[in-house]
Parts: sequence; C-alpha cells; structure tokens
Amino acid sequence: MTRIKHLRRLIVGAVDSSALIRILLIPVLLISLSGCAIDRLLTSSDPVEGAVIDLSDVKTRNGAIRFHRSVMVALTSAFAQVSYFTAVFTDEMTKDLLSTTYDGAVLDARKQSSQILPGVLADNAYNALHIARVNAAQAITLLQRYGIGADSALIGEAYAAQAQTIVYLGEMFCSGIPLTRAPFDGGLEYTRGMSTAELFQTAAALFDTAIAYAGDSVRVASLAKIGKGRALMNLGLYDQALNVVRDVETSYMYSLRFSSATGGVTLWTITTAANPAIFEVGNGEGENGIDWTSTPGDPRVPFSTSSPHRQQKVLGTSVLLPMAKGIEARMIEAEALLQPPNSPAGDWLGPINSARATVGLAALTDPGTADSRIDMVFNERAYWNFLEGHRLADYRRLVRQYERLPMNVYPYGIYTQGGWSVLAYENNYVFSPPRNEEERNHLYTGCIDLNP
Amino acid sequence: MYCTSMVLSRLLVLSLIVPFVGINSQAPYVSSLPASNADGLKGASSDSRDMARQKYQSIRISRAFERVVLREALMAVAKEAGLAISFDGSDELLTRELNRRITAKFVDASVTDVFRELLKNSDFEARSSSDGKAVMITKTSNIATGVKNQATGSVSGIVVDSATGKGIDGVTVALVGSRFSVMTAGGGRFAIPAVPNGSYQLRVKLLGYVQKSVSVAVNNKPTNVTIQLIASATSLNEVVTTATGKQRRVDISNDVVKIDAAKLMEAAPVRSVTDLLQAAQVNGVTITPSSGEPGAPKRIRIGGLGSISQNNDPVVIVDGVWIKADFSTKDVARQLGGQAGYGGYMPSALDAIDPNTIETIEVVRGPAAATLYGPDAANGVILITTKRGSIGPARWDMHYSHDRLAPTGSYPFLYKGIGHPLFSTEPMDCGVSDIVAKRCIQDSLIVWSDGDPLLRNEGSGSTNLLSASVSGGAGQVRYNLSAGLTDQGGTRRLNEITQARARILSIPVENRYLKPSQMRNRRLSARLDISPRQGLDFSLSLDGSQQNSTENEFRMAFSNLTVYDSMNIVNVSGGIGLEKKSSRTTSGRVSLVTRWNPNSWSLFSTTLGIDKQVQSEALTAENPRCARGVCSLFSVKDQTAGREASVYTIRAQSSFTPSLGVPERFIRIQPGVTFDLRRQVNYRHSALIERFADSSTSIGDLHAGPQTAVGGVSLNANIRLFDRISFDPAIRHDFSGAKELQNNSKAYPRLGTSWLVSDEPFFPQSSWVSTLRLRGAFGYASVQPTLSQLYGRYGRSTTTITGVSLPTIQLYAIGNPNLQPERSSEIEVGFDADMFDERVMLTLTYGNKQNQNTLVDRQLASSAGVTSGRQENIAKVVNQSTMIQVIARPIERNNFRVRLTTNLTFSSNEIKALGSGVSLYGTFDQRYVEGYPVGGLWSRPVLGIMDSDNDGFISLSEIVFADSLAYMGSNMPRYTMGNNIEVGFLGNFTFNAFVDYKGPFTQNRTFDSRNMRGYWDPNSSLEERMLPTVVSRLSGGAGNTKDLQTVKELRLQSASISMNVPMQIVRRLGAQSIHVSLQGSNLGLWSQYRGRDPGVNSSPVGEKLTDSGKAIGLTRNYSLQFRVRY
Repeated sequence: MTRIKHLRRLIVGAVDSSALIRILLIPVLLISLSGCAIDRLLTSSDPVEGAVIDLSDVKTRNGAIRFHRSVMVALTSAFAQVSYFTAVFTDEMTKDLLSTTYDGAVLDARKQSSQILPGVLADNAYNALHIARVNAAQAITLLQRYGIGADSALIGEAYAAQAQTIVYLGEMFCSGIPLTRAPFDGGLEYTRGMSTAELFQTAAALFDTAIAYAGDSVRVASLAKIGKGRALMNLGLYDQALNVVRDVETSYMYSLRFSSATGGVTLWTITTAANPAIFEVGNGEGENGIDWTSTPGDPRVPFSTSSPHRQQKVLGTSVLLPMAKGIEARMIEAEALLQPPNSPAGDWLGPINSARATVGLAALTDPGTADSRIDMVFNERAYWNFLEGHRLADYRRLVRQYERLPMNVYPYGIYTQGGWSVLAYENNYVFSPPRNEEERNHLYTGCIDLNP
Repeated sequence: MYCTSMVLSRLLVLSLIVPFVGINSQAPYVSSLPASNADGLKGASSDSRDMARQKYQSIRISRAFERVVLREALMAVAKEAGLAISFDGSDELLTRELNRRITAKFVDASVTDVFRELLKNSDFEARSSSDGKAVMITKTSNIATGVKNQATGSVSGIVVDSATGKGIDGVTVALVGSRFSVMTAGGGRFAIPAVPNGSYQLRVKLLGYVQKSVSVAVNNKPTNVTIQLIASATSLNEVVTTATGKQRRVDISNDVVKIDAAKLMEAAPVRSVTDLLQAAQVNGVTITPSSGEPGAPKRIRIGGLGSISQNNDPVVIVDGVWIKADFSTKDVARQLGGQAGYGGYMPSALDAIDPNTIETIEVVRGPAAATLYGPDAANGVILITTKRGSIGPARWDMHYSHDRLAPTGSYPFLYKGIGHPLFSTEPMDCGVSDIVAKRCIQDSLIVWSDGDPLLRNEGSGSTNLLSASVSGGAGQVRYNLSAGLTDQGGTRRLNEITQARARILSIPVENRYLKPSQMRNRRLSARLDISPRQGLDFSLSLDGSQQNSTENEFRMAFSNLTVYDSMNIVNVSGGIGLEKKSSRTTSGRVSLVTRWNPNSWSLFSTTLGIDKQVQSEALTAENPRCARGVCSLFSVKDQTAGREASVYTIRAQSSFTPSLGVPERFIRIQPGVTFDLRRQVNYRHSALIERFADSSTSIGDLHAGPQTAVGGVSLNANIRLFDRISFDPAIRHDFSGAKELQNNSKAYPRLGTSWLVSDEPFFPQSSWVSTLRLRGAFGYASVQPTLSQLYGRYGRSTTTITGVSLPTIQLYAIGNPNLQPERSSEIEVGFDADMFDERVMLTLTYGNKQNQNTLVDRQLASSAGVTSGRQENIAKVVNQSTMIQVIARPIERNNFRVRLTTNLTFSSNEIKALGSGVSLYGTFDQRYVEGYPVGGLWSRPVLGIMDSDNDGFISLSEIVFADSLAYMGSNMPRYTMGNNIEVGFLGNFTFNAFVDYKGPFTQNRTFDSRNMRGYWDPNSSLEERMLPTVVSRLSGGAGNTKDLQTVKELRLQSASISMNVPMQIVRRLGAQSIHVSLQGSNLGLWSQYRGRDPGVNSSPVGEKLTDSGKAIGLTRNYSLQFRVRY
C-alpha cells in the first residue's frame, strides 16, 4: 500500500495534476453519462421491433391479427394431413382396382408398418400438428399483448386451435407425445412425453379457456365445446362431454378450406380421377371395413357409382371441409346417453335421428343389444365424419373404451385386391413420433405404450 | 433495465490502476547524493589540451535526478553540457551499471564533478575527448592499462538524415571489432575518444534507417566524418493509425499492413478501392470479383472464413466512421420474392470512394482487431484515411486515365446440331439423344465461339476516370476538395445475328441495347482540417457518390423463328423481350473528428459520423408480341427494390503518457480508454407494377429492416521498456442493443508484445541481420449474431379467406435468446527482420484462430413446431495461416534500382466440430462437414462410363457414380502469392509488374448443357457425351451442369511503365510534376480451368462460389494515365 501511495505521488507530482484530472475526467464523464445514455442509445428503439423483416409488423394489433390468420392456415394444413392419413389408413379408402400406381409412403401406412419404418404420412401429420400448435400458442401471446381492441374471440379461436391439435396428437400417436414450447419471445423448452390421458386433459383445459375467451362468439364457443367434448370422450368422461356439447346447434359447422392445404390436395388427387388416383371408396376392406359402396346415394358419403368408386366429397381446390360440426355434438350425445347409468333408458336414438333428418335420411330403430347400439352409433359417426379425420380415433375408442379386439376393429389380415397381389396388415396400430424427436429432444424417451 | 454504469465504473477504476501497477514493478529507491566540487577528470590529458580542458571544466550543471537510470542521467548531463557522449563497450558489467537507478541533485556543479559523483562507487569514469566536445564513459581499468600506453586518436562526426540534412540523435555508432559504441546526441554528433590507431569499419544504425558502414582510419589525430542515413522503406519505425491513436509500428504486437494509395496508384491500374486492395497483394486478404462487368462488386475476405452462418465481411472504417460494406445484389433481389439476377450491380460499398482521395489504407487482422474495433472485427478491419490538405498555396492534382477493355479467355466452343425429321425436310434441332431416338437425321453441326462475328456477345469496352482535387491551407485551416468521375462501358454486346433478326422484323434496336453494360460513378469529397489553437484540431470529412449501372437486355423469344446459317428465316411468330435492368447506389458520409492535445502527454479525441447508403434496383421489362413481322406491346413490368442503411458512429477516446520520473526511453506507459457506439438503421422497399394490355396491378412496400446498435468500452495501454520491448494489453467490454447479447457478452482481453531483439546488447552485430523484431499477440474477438437469430424470423404471406386475399404473417424460425456472440481466440506470432544491410526485409507471421462457439443452425425436434433449425453456439472452426513477406532491393543505384516484393500465404480452414446433433450443414454441393473446410464443395464423382448399348448416347445407367458425395475442395485458396517487381531506370522511369498466384481452390462452374458438344455431336468423346446426362444427377435436375474443378491460377495481374516527366518540361507547362503511365491489367492467365475465368465468382457475397459460366471474365485493360500537379 505504501508503495502504491509512493507511486501515486510520483506520478501526480510529475505531471500537471489539474490537467491530468481534466483529461481523466472527460472519459469519466463520458462513461458516467453513458452509463445511462448507452442504455438509452442502445434501446431507444426496441431492437426486437426492427429485428427482422416484418417483425415490427408482428408486434402490432394488425400484426397479431395477421399472425392469427397464419395459425388458421397452419391448422388447415394439419387437419388436411390428419384427414389424409386417416382416410388411407382406415377403411375409408381402399386400393383402386385399376390403378397400378405405387406410392410407397401410402402403402407403408396401409400396412401399418410405421413402427418399423416411420411412416412419412404419420410424420407429416405430426409435424403439421406441432406447427399449428406452436403457432397458435404464439398467436395467443401476440393477441394478448398487442391485439388491443381485437376481438377476444380470436384469442379463443387460437386456444381452440391449439387444443384441437393436441386432441389429434393424442388420437393418432402413441402415448408419450411431448408438447415442446417455443414461445413468441424466443427460447425453446423441450418437454417430456405426456401420456395420452394427459394430452386429452391438457386439450380439455385449453378448450375451457377458449370458451371463456369466445364471449358471445357462438362460432368459436361451439368449436371449443365440440373439441372439448371430443377430448372428454377420449377420456371416457361421457357425462361431462354430454353436458359440454348439449347446446351446440346441429347445423353448426366450423370448416376449413380443406383442399388449399397440401394434405387436402393430395387426398383429392389420389382419390379422384386426377392423377395419380390410387384409392377408391372402401368396400369392406380387411375383413372389418365398412363397405361404403353398399349404400349408394347416402348423401354423407358421395361417390361415383361406376367402378372405380371415386369419392366425391373432396373435389377441387376450394372445398370447405368441417373440422367440427353440430352433428358431431349429436353423435357425442347419443354415445354418452348409451353409457351407464343412462343406457338404455336415455333417448340415445334421438340425436342420431335428428341428425339424419337434416339430410332426409330415414330414422333408425333400436337394434336391441348394447353392442349393436354401440355399433350403430359408430357406424353413424363413420358416415357423418367420412374423410374428416375421425375414423382412426373411433377405432381407438372402440378398442380402449369398449374393449373390442383390435383384429375386430382395424383393417386386419390378408387383403388381396387389384394391383396388389397380397397385402398383409400387420398388428401395429399406433404411430411413434418421427425419429428426430428422439434424436433432438433430450427429454423425450420414446413411447410410453403402444396400445392400439 | 440493464445498466452498464457499474461495469464501466469498474473498468475505469482498472484503467486508473494500470499505470501504478506498471511502475510498481520497477527497481527500489536509491538514496540521493550530495553535490561535490572535486576537480578534474581522471584520464583527461593535460598539456596539449589545456584549452579544451578548461572549457570542459567550466561547464556548470544544475540538475536533479530522482530514480533515474544512470545511463539517462549521464546522457542528460552531456546534453546539457553540449557534449557528445559515448560508452566504451557494451559488456554486461557496463550494461548493468548503467541501468541502475540513482537519485541526485546538483546545483551549479562542474561537469567533471557531476560525472564523478554519478559514477562514484562504480568501475567506470568519464573521460573527455581531446577537443573537449565529447566524453566517453569507460572502465577505469581500461585507462589504467592498455589504452593508456597505446597510440590513440579519436573518431567524431555527425549523422544526418539524407533527405533533410538534419542531425539525428540516438543513432548507435560503433567501431566494428572493438568495444567502442556510442550514441549520437546534440544534433546527431558523436565522438569516440582514445581509439587505438588502426583501420576500422564504423557502423551506424538506427531503427527506421538503412544501416550504414563507413571505413575510418585512426592515426594519432582526430578523424571527423559526416554520415548520411537513408530512411528505410521497410521501416518498423513508421507510424500507423490504430483505434487508440498513432503508434510506432514497432510498438504494435501484430502485423499491420499500411498501403500508400498514391504510390500504388502510380504503379498499378487502380480504378477503385477494391482495385487498390487487390494491387496491394496483402497477405491473408482475398479479393474475389463477381464479374468483369462494369461496377461489379467484389468480395473481401481477411484471414479466411471463421463463421459458418454469420457474416465473414471485414469491418470498414473511413476516417473513423464505420460504413456498411456488406450489401449485396441478393439482398435487394430478395425483396421481390428472391428473384435472383434482378439487374445491374450493387457495387462494393468501398468502391463508392474515389481511390484518389485516399491517403492510406491499413489492414488490421489478428488479435488486435476485436479489442480495438469491437464486434465483427474478428473478420479483420480495413481502415481508410482520406487525404488532407497542407499549409500552402492551392495545389491542384489531376488524374485522368483511359482504359481500353478487352474480353479475355474463351468460353468453351458452343455447339448446335441441325437436322431434319426422317420423313420431312423441315429443319430442326438435332442432338445426340434425338438421333438415338430416331427423331431426326443430323445434317450439320454448328460450332461457334465468342469470336464468331455473328454470334459474338462481347467486344471492346472502355473506362474513363477523371479525378481532380485542390488542396492547400492557410493559417489554421487546411482543405482538400476532390471530384471524380468514372465512366465505364462494358464489353458485352448484342450479337449481330440478333440485330439482323430485329431488322428483318422491323423492330428498332435502341443504342442502349447494343452495348448493354454501362456504369457511371460520380464522386465528390471534401476534407477540412481546422486547428483553432495549439493542440486542438477538427477534421471534417464529407463524401458523396452515386453509381448507376445498367444492363439492357434485348431478348428475342420466338416460338417458331429459327435462324440457321445465312439468315434463312423459316417462320416468324412469337415474342421478344426487352429488359432494362439498372441499379443505383447513392452514398454519403460525414465525419467530424476532434483531437485535443492539451499538453504533450495527453490526447482526447472524439469521432462523430454518419454513413448512409441508398441502393435500388429496377427492372423494366417490355414484352411486345410479334407475328409475321407485326409487333404490339403485350405487357410491361416495372419492378423496383432497394434498401437504405445508415450507420451512426460515436467514438471517444482518451490516452495519456504519465511521466514516471524516468526518461521515456527506459519506460513509457500510455494507458487509454476508448468508447465507441455504432447504430445501424435499415429500410427496405420494393414495388412491382405490372401492366397487361389494359389492366395493371401494383404492389408497393416500404418497411423497416434491422436496427442494431453495438458499442463498447476498451481499456488499453502501450507499455514500452528500454525502447525495444513493448506490451499492449487491452480489454474490451461490448454493449448491444439486444439485451440478451448484453447479458451474454463477455470481456475480450488481448495481450501482445513486441521485442526489438536486435537492439539488445547481446545481439551479435552483423551485416546480414541488422534489425530483428519478435512479436506475439493473443486475444479474443467476436462476431455478433443477428437479431433474427435471437428473436426469431417472421415473414409475410397471404391467404385466401372466403375468396378474399388477406395478408398473413408466418413464423419461419424461432429465435434463441441464449445466443452468445461467436467468440474466437487468436494467437499471432512472428518476426520482422531487416537483412543484408537492409536490402532485404523478411516478415513472417503465423496465426491460429479458433472459433470456439461458432453459430450453427441446429435442427429441432418436430415437436418444436418449426421446420427450420435454430442457431446455437456449438461449432468450432480453426483457421491457420502462415504469411511471409519478403521485400528485397538487390540493386540500388542512382539510375537503376530494383525492388522485389513477395507476399506468400499458406492458409487452412477446418470445421473441427459442428456440435452435438449437427452432422451435416449446407446445400447439395456446398457443405459444412466436420474435418473439412467451411463451405467446402462436394460432389458425387463419376467412377466410370461405358456406352454399353453402343448407341452413342450415354444414359444415366451407363454412368457409374460413387455411392456418396466426395469432398472436392475448398472454396478458398490454400496458397496465395503476390509478386511485385519494381524497376527504376534512367532516373525518371519505373517499371512495375504484379503477378499473382492462388490455388488450389475449387470453383463451381455452372453452364448450360444445351451448348455442350456432347449434347449435339455424336462423334464427341465419351466424357463429353456424359456431361449433359450428368446434369440432372449432379444438380438436382436443374438445367445446368455444375462442373466442380479444383484449379490453380497464375495471373499477370498488371504491368506498367511510368515516367516522371523531366522538370524542365514540367516547369515549361507551369506544373509542379507530371506523371505518365502506360498500364495493362490482367495481361496473362495460366490455369487449367475449363470455364471462363477461375478468378471470377458470380456470388460475391456469402461463401458460395459459383462461376455462372456465362459470367464475363475479368477484362484485359490497357490504359494511359496522367497525373498532373499544379
């Protein structure tokens, strides 16, 4: 210390002390000022505001609304992928007798072999669902922060979209799907896989929030109620589902411009006369499949009567296809009313027949047994929801909740038809996430179970 | 809110402590001595020298010394007494003795007493020369023994600067082979007394001057010599400008390259700043032109590629102001949905500056850059200082040059087969595949090249450069005003056959389409230096330029018009396309630098500046439809896109040199504080107007782009010991507008040292190494991530909802707020040596730069909900380089001198690791793979070909490809060598030649397979017939062949003969000097490259190297240049 004092004396004594202080003071002042000023200079314009092209537009009311629109686009794509995959994997579509076109990805899906080789179609659906989900979550943040004055129903719609994607993930894939978070402000938070039940519970909670934000928007509230009903049905909570969907109008429909999305276009091209047409409407495929061709003229499943039976529901590039509709609410009601203690006293046929009446179909009568009633409800569901991404979920519930054997539900066994010599369905019924999930998400440990 | 005050305060406290720490390490305190009046000097002769002795003894000294090194004290006394002082010998004892510290005080003491007291208790004493003008410090024993009894004389004289004639102090004068070594003082004087008789070589040496030896004979009497020293051209003593002010080059621990713009422009054809850099052949600097077209931009890389996904462009600072130098054509083109080749050229921002206005360019690389210049300086720094005026009457400088441009190199011969169908005589295109498929019978094969008069698309071009400046000053004001104009007509031509077609169709072809490539660059600059009072200077620098470049395309796209030889028009219908592409760059720069030297030991300066660039591109496309010779306008499309950028610079620095109570030649400490901040604001705009007959659509947009701000505070010091050892420690802390970066940023320290080892006593005196400096530096640098990498990337789109097109905003990529700046550590070691009587200067530098946390796009799990990856600091890149510079002056005569310069660089670049989860990065042919260079080029090699069905056509099944992609080479040359020979003869003439070599590097030649011989000629070789087939396999189906070639090139870059017009003629013309130069550039190219020009790359920004094949090669220029000064 003494030495330092001496050295200080040496220097200060050797120079003009006042000049030295003056010189030192300038940077001191500058830096002291800059202690406050630098921050201001640096942050006077929020760097995020102009960080990248268009980001300044994002953080405005208009930006939030525009971003919300892109969520709807993403949701449409995801819905199209789900519908496309469901159609070719289940009995909705079968191989066109005349077609010699080979599509490896589709046929992999048909053979249910995606457990061995991740199916391209399942991967596409998985990716599209997460894109829509993450976009919806960001849109909620944006609308909440910057969408001042915007219709709060938009927030509700984004919540419903987010929840809907989670329902699809739970219905299509194995138990153990992660819901990674990538919030608007940056950052990435990988998560562990959630069980199927957790997914549906998460979705139900999000639908609740959507209902709260929906306010007086019947359009959004109904979407959320049907979605919540679907999630609750997947959880086996029939009464709750019944209560949620009861006030949804039968005529309600939440449609997306199905064919403008990639999956939708593909479904259109491979199932209609456009090349390459690989599939036609199912005709009792794989022992368990519905023979849709046996009911020509049913307005719910339009197809060409001459062989090959091309579907005529998804045509062209401007088709609006419902992701949720009041008819589904009626189907939920009917199924819920069949559950103890309602069954068989409840008027479970009422909702079914009221739905049928909307398109002029004759009323159905009670088949008499519990199983046949369930069969009837699921058959009605199949017709009403043809090509709308429900059929695979119905298979799941028949196995998981009604304890049907998979071989009595899914396309099963040897199936020979048309251009294929032999097609043997394997007994893999659920799909794993793409392999990259395991490679890149350090918290993901694979499927919890592969229950059909 | 994150407040930097605390950090700054801490840094400031550290800056105040630094000088104390430095002094604290010095020798202990020495007690003072009382003055004495003892008489006489031992050893001084008596009788014949009484007069001198009396004079000598009459000198009185009053002086105090406190902790002063003895050598300095003795020299100070000698200086005050007007005596030359010498030190007898340089052995360890003397060195040790002279370096001890003393404290003493003398009041009106005789010089003899002073010397005696100072040398008390030592084995040395002071001895005066016979004439009483010099004193020598020598061992007592030397006087007592041999020397005393030997016949002696003395050697004295003066050392002067050959240019100024002024005496130079501090020069070491030694008698070779003896212990006598003295140092000049008192205006260059020296004296060596009591030298035994004999013949000696007197060696005279000072850093910054060419060492000189003269013969002297000592024969019982005084010998007097006058020695002229020539300033060394290879001086380590020159002053260079660093971020902390001006410093001697010898004190800087890293290699700094300083380019004398005016001198280089006399020797080489320089028409732009990038030409200057190219001609300077700076080691480690790679200049890649995008084309030989007028105004085409050039890519600059300093020290290889450190970043994988970040910008590798160097920082450019002009008169203290940062300028944005990384604009690219692509940036603008992206504004309209990524339409590449949108039009014209965006020049390199550097080329907006008139090279005639530049005084010097300094290239800073290595560890020095970051701590001095902040973020992104890891890629190197280019410092440009413009010319300033000097006091005196107005001085006019004019520069005019006229260049004739000629295309070089030949694009491979182009082919076309003409035939007819089997059952018709109608002519048709008929290639090998058509013949094999029996679609036609080939009648003829047309072969043409650029030389074909009908099809020739190139001709001669020209460049005219006119620059004029006036400079001068009076009183406290100096000025320099300059104006420049560059007008360039490119070599592209509308070929004759197209013109003939147009004539036949009565379509007028305007002149602008005949020579489609034009560029005009207009520049104005002014610099005003005002010194209102001593120690206070203001420099105001203004610069503005506008460059317009156009590319006018006349295209004919006839569906049924076929012109075979002899202009035989078969059918006419279809359309033509007229395209005018243009780009305009307007830039301006203002800088105000204030320097305040309140006294000799302190400096305070500020720099305020703005650099603004406005760039736009426009495309006007007119599409008339013609049928049977009648044309009508079908559609007009106007597209414009552009961007603006403003860079604001604020910089302040302070440094001082505290007096430590000891002479500066023993220790000098110069600590300093620097603060800088730069803010960049970008705008982008685009517009599209399209008219189809009677309807039109218009889409316009203007929106903000990135606005970034970065800055920092650095503490630095230059510590010099014994005038030969320097340390320059520094530490910098960055600020950033991005809070995340601010939180994640680290300090960037640096330590460098320079040791002038040849000035050490132990260094052997030899003629072959006269100066040797060892240097080394280690430091950290950074490259900032972009804000979109931090916060995510969003883009615009539209969606149709209920039949209405509505705008949307989409998420493209998520951000990573945990990003840190890429942090690289770099070590640079080397030496500089003046050899063989300073006829050769050798500089060797080895650099090793490691980017430890290079940013890489890591792909994300699908559940993240984005298809793109996210940037993470996970890769590691290593750059190594060894750079050698040899400057030799083998012949130095009055009328004939030769100077040879060779710059040689060996460099390597390797991705050591890409990081966990990233195994491959990049596109199909340019990849980032561990163990290989950044952006290396990859391809699937052809292992064999066989025409197995013998049909003449090589199908894909007849080509055997390797199973996987193979590494083809780096896109950066491993070796570069620049050679310059300068020959001065007949007094006024100078010949210069610049020869460059670079290689091996891999060039991606892309060309249209439909012109290839193998496509048309069934008699071509198997390899030729294979190439068109390989197209789809190697380029993903595109219609172009990517022909990866690893090449080397040797280029006669330029040659010139210059003449300084004799003064009698100059005076007769009323001028001060006239310089005439005949120059040629790109005079020869030796390379095995199969494309147009291996040195041209159509993708000047970014790393991708693509020679489009059709790109205009560098032109061969012949020029005449005049420089006149009035």
